[in-house]
Amino acid sequence: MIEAQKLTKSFGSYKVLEDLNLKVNKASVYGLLGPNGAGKTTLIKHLTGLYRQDQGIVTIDDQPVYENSQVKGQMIYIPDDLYFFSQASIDETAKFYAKIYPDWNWNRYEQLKQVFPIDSKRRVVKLSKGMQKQVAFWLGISSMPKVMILDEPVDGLDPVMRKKVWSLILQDVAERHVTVLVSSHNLRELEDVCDHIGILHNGKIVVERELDDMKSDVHKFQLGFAGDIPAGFLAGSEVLHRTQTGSILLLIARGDKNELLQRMKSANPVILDVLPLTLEEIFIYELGGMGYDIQNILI
Amino acid sequence: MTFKISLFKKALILSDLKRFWWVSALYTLALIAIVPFSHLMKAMGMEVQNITWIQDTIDRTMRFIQDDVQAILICTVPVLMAVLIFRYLQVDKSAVMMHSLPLKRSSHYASHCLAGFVLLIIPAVLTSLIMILLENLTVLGSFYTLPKIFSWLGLNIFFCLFFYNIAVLVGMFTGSSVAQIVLSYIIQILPIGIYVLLKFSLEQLLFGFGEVPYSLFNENNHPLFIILNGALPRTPHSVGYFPAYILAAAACLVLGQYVYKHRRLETAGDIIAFPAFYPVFKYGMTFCLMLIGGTYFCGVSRQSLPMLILGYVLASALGYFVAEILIHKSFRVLHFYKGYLYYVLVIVLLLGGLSLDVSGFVKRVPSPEEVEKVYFSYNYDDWFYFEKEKNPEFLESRYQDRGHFEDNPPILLESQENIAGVIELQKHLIKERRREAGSSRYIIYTLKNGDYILRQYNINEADQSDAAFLKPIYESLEYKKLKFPAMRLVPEDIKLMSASDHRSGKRPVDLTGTKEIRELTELLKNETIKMSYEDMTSSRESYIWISVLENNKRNEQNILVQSSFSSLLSWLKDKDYYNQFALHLEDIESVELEKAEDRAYSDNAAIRSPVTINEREVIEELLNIDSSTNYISNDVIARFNVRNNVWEKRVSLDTRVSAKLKGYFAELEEEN
Repeated sequence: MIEAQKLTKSFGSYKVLEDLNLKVNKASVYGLLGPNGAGKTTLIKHLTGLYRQDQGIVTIDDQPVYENSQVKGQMIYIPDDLYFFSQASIDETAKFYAKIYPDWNWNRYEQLKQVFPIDSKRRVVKLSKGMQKQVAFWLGISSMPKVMILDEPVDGLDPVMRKKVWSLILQDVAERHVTVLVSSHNLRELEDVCDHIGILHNGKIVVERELDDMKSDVHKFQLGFAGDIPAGFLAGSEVLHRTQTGSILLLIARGDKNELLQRMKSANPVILDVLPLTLEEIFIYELGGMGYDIQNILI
Repeated sequence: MTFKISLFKKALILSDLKRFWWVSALYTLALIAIVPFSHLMKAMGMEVQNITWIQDTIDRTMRFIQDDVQAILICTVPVLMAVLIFRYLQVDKSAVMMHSLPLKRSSHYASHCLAGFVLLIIPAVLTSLIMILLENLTVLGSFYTLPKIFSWLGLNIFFCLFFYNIAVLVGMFTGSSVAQIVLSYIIQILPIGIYVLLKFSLEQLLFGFGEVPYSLFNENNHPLFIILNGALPRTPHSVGYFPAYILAAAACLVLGQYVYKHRRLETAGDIIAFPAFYPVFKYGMTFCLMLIGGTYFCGVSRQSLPMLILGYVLASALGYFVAEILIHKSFRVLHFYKGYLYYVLVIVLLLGGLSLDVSGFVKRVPSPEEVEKVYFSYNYDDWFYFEKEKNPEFLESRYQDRGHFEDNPPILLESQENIAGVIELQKHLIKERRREAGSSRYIIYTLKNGDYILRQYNINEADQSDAAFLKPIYESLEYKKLKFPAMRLVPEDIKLMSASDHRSGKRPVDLTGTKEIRELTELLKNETIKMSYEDMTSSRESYIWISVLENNKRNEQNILVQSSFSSLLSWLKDKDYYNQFALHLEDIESVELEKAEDRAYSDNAAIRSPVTINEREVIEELLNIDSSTNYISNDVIARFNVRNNVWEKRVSLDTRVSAKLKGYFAELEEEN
C-alpha cells in the first residue's frame, strides 16, 4: 500500500505539491493523471524516496520511503528519462542490479529474453529510446518488485510492445499482488489497465475514483419521443448532463442502470438506447459540476 | 548486517572501478613515464661527472620539488577523479537512477569515495612497484633507495587524497561539475587570497598597519602551494605537518558525508546545492571581488584613495550580480539590487569607521609605563619567532643559519629612555602621516599585560624632523649594543682578527696576538660608542673591514671601519698595519672615466674609449670624493687601476670638483 498524507513540497518560492493525499491499495493499478506541470513527476519522486518532502508523510506498507533501503529494495521506479552507465551492456547492467536488488531473479531475466528481442550483449546507451525503455522494464520486472512506479511508461514503445509490457505487469499484479502506480497525461492510455484513477491538478489530487464503480455508476442514454418530451419523469434521479436536439434527448445520469431504465420506460419513449460511455466522458461530466475545467486538465 | 558491510556496496565500487579505470590507467602510464622511466633514461645516458646532478634531479622528483609535470598531475588528477566519481549527483537523470536504488546515501558516499581512493592509490602503488623492480634490476639501483621510494609513495598518496577529499567535499556543496572544479581550487586559494587582499586594503586605509608576512594561512604550508612552489617543508614544524593535514583531509570526508545526507536531489545542476548557502556564496564573491578590484585599481593608480574606492564599488557590483546570475541561472538579476545596497551600507559603515579611526587604531600609542619592551627594526620574522613564538630555532633552521640570533640579536629595546623615545617617534610619525619616502620599520610593543601592539611606518633617516627623534635612540648604548656586532666582541673568544681594504688588492693583515686583539676590540667598542647619529646614517662609503673569527663559530663577522673611527685608524697606522693592507694614493696607476649611460647601453661602449687620467692630484681628488648613491645615468664611473686590482666608484656630475677634473668630465662629454 502506497500512501501519502498532507504532502507538501516547494521548489524555492514555487509550491508544487500542497497538502496532497493519496492512497494506492495493494495489488491495484493506480493511474495518476494530470496535465504537464501538474506535479506528477514530483509526486512520484516523493513516492520513490528521491525527494524529501517539506511536510507530510510518504509511506509504503506503513514504512517511510525516504532513505529506507529495505522499502526501496522491493520497489522499482522507471522514470521517463532513463539513465544507464555508458559503458555497460544489458547483461552487465543486469549483473549490477542483481547485486543491488535482494530479490533479483536470474531465471526471470533469462525468460524475458523471449519477450524483449534485444541482444543482451549490446551497450544500453547505444540502443534507441524505445529499446532502452524495454530494457528498463526487463530489468525492473526481473528484480521481482512488490511495488512498481512508472512515470509515463509506455512513451516511445510501439503498440505491440506496449501490450506485451502491460500484460507482463498485469500478470505480476494478479499473481504476485504487485502494486503499480503509473502516471500519464493521457487518459486513454490508462483506461484499459487501471482500476483506480487519481487526477492531479495544481499540486493536489482533485479526484480519486475506482474505475469499475464509475463505469457501473454512470450511464449514457439516448431517448426519442414522438411528441413533446414529458416533463418530470426524471425527477429523483441524478442527471449529470442533458442535451436536447428536437425530440431527441441525450442523458448522462448516475444511479442503478436498471432502475434508471425503468424510470425512462415509464415516459414511453419511441427510442431508448444505452450508449457506451468513455472514461473521458465520465470524468468530464462528473467533474464539470465540481467547477474544474476538466477538459483542459485531461486534454 | 554489520555496519561495515552495509556501508560499502561492492556493486557500486565495482561499477565505479569499471567505469573509471581508464583515468587510473592513464595516470599510471603518466607517472611511470615521468618518474621511473625518465629517471632510467637519465641514468642510462649518464656520464661520470654528472652523477651528482642526476642524483639531485632524481631526489628532487622523489620529493615533488621542481617537477612541473608531476606537480600538475598531482593537482589535477585527484580533482578530476572526484568530479567523475560524483558526476552522477550533478546530473538529474543519473541522480534519480542512482538514488532510486535500494541504497542509503551513506552507502553511496562511502562506496564512491572508496572507489576513488582505490583508483588514485593503484597508480602510485604500481609505479612504486616498478621503481622497486628497477632499483633491483637496473642502474637505478645506485640512485633509488627503498626509503626514498616509500617516501615518494607516501607523499603521492598524501597529496592525492588531500586534493581528492577537498574536491569531494566541494562536490557535495555544488550541483555542477564545472563549479566543483573551479571551487575546489578557489577554496584552497581563497583564505590566503583574502588575507593578502585584506591586508593590502588595511594598509591603505589604516596608517601604521603592519604588514605581517606569516600567519595562520602561511602560504608555504598549504599542500597546493607546496606543490606549486615546489618546496616541501623541511622544518621542525613538518613533524606535525602531515598529521595535521591528514586530519584536515579526514575532516573533509566526514563533513562531506554529512552534507551529502542533507543534500536535496533536486539541486542537481544548481551552482550551490544548499539555498542556505546562497548568501554566503553571493556576499563572499562580492567581498572577494571588491578586494581584488580595490587592490588592482589602487595598484595601477599608485595608491590613490579615490581609485581604491572606485575599484571597490565597480568590482563589488560585478561580483554581486555575477553571483546572482549564477545562482538564478538568468541574466535578469538587476531587480535584486536591494541586497547589494545592504552590502554597500554595511561596507560604507565599516570603511567609514576605519577611516574615521573609530577603533582608535591609528592613534593608539601606549604610555611608557605600559610597555615592557619595544621592537624597532625591519624584520618581522625575527620578532615573531624570537619574541612572540619564543622559538628562534625554527627560524634559524629555516634560514639554515644556526647562529642567526646570536649574530643579529633582534632590536628589542627595554630601557625607559628608549621606550619613551620610540613612543615619541611614533607620535611624531602619526602626526606627520607621511607615507612615501624612507624605509619601512616595525614598531612592536610588548606590553606588560602580555599584549602586543604592532605598527609599521616609513622612516626617513635623512629627514630632519625624523632625525630629531631617531638620534637619541640610535645613539643610546642599548641600541648600539644590539645593532653593532663590534659591541659584543669578547677578546677571549677571538681566534683571529684581520684588517682589509677591498680596493687595494693587498692581502689582509692578520692579528692573532692576545694583546693586540684586546686592544683592537677595545678600540672598536669605543669608536662604536662614540659614533654619532650622522655617522651611523651617513651614506659615505667605507672600504676598510675588520674580520673577526671567533672560536666555536663557522662564520666570521665583518665589521666595517667607518671613516670616523679615527683613533682606531691611527692605532692601525701606529702599528704599521695600515700600510700593509690599505690603499694608498701611490698604489693607483691610473683612473679611467666612463659615462654610466654607456654601461647601460653596451653598444655605445664598444665604440667610445674612456678618458684616462694620470695626474696625481686629480686622482687624489677622485679618491676622496664622495661617491654617488643616486645611481642616475648621468653619473660618471671612475675605474681605478691599482696594482693587482681594479675597482670602480660612481661620481655624480653635479659634484663640486676642481677645474682640472671638470676638464676631464668635459672631455668625456665631447667624445659623445
